[in-house]
Amino acid sequence: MLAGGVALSITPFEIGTIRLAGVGLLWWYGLVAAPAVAVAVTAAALAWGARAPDTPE
Amino acid sequence: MSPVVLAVLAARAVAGDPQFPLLAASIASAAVVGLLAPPASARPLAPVAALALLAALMLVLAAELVVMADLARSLGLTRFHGLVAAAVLALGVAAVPFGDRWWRLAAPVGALVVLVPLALVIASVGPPWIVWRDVASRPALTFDEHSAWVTHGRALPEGTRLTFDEPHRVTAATAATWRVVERDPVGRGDAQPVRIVVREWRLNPGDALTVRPGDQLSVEPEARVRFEAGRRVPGAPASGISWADGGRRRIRDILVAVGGTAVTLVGGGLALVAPAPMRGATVAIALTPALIVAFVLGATLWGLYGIALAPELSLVPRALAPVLEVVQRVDTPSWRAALAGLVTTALVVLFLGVVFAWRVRAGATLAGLAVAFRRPSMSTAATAGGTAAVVVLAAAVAWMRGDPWQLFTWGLGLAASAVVAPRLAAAGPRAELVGMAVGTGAFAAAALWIPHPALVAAPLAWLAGSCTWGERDASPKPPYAPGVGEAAARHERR
Repeated sequence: MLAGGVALSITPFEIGTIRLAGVGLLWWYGLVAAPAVAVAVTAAALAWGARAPDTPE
Repeated sequence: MSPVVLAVLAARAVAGDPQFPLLAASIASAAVVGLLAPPASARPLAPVAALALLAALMLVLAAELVVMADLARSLGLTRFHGLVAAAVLALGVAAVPFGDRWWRLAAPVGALVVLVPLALVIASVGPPWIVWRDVASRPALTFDEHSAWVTHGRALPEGTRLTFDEPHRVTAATAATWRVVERDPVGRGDAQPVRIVVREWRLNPGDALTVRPGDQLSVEPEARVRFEAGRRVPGAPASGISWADGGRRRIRDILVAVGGTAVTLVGGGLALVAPAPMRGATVAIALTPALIVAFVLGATLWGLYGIALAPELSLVPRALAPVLEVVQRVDTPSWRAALAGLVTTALVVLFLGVVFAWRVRAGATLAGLAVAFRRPSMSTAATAGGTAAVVVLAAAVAWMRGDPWQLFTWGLGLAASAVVAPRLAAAGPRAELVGMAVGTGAFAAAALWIPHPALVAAPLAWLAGSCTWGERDASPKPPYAPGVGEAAARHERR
């Protein structure tokens, strides 16, 4: 996730500053897209862990 | 979710930090990674590692206390009173080892309530993407004619030095001595020498002074000044475009900043954040990561609406100033006091929730320390006394006026370097001790020179642990969990 943000920051032609619906692409990525993916993955992992049967230590 | 995170995100959004979106993503991801940490390892920490963890906890609490003291200043109280009040609240939470079921709700409730006034602001001002576009298209960030800085004048914080980019007529609202440092170029060429002249004036209310580009102005503490409407705010980004896009930075700087922040926050989060309950808590599983991200987004929006409604926020570099300034700019005057009260209450509740989580972790660390000294049954009073001592130490550190974000990241970075990285090596107690010593030493040395010491110290600690000969961990369980042994686990369950 962070690597995607870094890539947007360092790519040529300042792609991260391109405006989408008036807002910079890097802002969309860092504040909407990446956190949304993080929430989805985390919730899925936690739900998977909650459903998994107990394993012996 | 804590007042420090809220304060730093709002302040960085106001300042137009070019790496701000990545910082927000780092904070959100570190928090959710902490939720995914496996249960605590059965092997207790070495006593010195437990002491390093206590030091890290102390730094984190000191950062929270600095922010709460700044909040008190923004509300018109003194810093001393704010710090004492916050420390007393923290001592109260530390000394009351019951009601954990309710204390656990404080942080999420505080985080949610602090977003309620923001929803009202959004409804009143407009959606964030429209506000962002509006700010980003401004040719300059200037004083509004209705701003209190223009109409009545306000006091600059102690030690403020304003550097002006354009001619500006500044008026004294109270009698005070003003100092202007003038820099006049002498000669020609790029590397032209500069003649520095320092002038002081005693101004009465209503007297004005015109400063030139490059002049630096400082006034007595608590002296109120008025600025000219329509002029650029000193210290603010030059324009909306400059705020939105920031300046170009070198690739190496970006990699170091992002990598250092990620190592610090994720590593520290693994050491300090309690893993999420994995069984029988479906609602918590669904809501906890969503609430964390909503909090990060909300903190960002406080900063966005701050720069939109009050560009002069750069004159008041206090933690949480954007939050309180924004609620003072809502259209309905009768709502302002109520919203300020609601925000303040939410921040105090959030602080109490953070202190509760801190107390649980500090108590577990103390319990692990007792086990290491072969005293497995640490009494409740002894645990409360130990945590209270750490609170007092944190208040003393906070009194020394540190930058809260630096204290916070130092605490997390120390935990990552001294506790998490040596455990990642999974090389047994002896190797862990060596890794802890290397990590702590490297962190202390690097903190003097670089902004992200954990970026150097944590890999060194892992390497030292991996290369040390000794009995290796036989457990297939991931060994980097933050626990300090069975005694700590018992303490947390209690």
